[in-house]
Amino acid sequence: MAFRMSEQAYLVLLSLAEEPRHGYGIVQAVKVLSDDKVRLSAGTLYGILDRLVDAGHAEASGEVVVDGRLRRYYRLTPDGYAALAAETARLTDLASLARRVLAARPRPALGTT
Amino acid sequence: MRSLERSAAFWLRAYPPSWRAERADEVTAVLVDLADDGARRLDARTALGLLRGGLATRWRQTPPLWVYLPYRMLDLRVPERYRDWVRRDMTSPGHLRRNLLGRAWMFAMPLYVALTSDLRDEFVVTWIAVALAGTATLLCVRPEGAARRRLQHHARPGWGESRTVGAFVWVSTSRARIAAMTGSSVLVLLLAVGAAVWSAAALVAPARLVLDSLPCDLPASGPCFEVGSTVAARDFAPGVAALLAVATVMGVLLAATVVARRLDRRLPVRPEQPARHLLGLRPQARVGVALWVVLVVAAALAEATGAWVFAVSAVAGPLCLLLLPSAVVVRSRARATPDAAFVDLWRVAWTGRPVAVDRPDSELVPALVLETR
Repeated sequence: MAFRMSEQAYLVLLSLAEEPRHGYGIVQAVKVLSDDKVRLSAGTLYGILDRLVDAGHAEASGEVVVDGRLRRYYRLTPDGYAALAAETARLTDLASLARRVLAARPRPALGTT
Repeated sequence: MRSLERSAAFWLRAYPPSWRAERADEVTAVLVDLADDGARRLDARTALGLLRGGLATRWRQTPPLWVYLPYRMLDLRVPERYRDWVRRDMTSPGHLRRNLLGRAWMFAMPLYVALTSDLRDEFVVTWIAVALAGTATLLCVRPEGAARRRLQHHARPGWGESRTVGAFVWVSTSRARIAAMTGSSVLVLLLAVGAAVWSAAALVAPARLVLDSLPCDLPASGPCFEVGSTVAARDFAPGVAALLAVATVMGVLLAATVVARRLDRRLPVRPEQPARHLLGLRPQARVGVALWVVLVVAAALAEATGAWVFAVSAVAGPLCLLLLPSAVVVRSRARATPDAAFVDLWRVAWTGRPVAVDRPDSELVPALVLETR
């Protein structure tokens, strides 16, 4: 199944690449990774997790009950690592291309319209 | 905190039931963790997110229309990737209702014809009778048995499909059989009611089926006939009475000379049945049998009063009388063999062959572990 890589999905993959995490842990990690710019809601998070699991990029890796609350942990699969690496390479290429474009472009003169 | 969880449960209803059964606890924990301290309900942004996520999940889990419609309307198998959806569809609450509604289209055309034709009233009565008969039969069928058969049809793995944990695999299981006493009691009840009311109806029915060719009032371009039935006075009672008497005598002879002797010879040497368990009647099945009794009585009454053309009771009355004595013999032997299944007695009575050992039934269950042999 083709997986559409959004920025949020990329951040979720990245947070899982560090270590297996439960839902709340993913939200916190994404917040840190994005410098407090991306705050996942539960609906968005589980939409992304479902798509990641369906695509074989992530899998449930265990359950823990803390204070009577169920916490299910997720981890990346080898496919997930590959997808993350591919997307990272694409973003790196894009960034270096953007740098070249910006460097070649003359600076706009101030005061012109 | 409780009210926050209630609020979460409310908004989580946007998700499909099967998804909720699997994930609700987990997502509720995350929602509680994410909520502000002291919050009594989910904020609007979270609630909208759940609504959107739930609808998207429903949309993603449902197969496309070209897979969904053949499955729902014709019960055709779906491709492997949607098999899990089908399994959830057949095992979640309301599966019977969804299945029946999906096939309701089959009745649309005949129902339309019936409601728009001149004989609307008669059609309506017939349809009510058909609906009652269908309901009675459905009540007699064990729902878990029917669901199991559908699951076996849809979830069985195809040839060459990969085996994974969670995929369905075949295992042997005990076969469910109706107990001899239960089955034979129902048989005797239905045959006794049928014999009594249909024989009575055959004797007193004022109408008989006469096929007449009537002249057409249409300007026909070719030969034209209309077939109709006429109500005739009761001039056939002696013939019917003789037929019923012959059926009774033949039935008693059949029961005494064939059925009783077969059962007495074969039943004492029954084999062990290790792969079987016996079932009684569920309360719903009792209602189903009662509904069948009501239908038989109503059909006989309709013929006896002339509301329906005399037809069924002429055949059903003698047939029930012919079979009733044998059924009574079967029931008397069932009382002596409480560990036998109805099917054993039925087969011995019908064929005279020895009681067969049941082979184990097969069941589909999700694989827990994989091991190579």
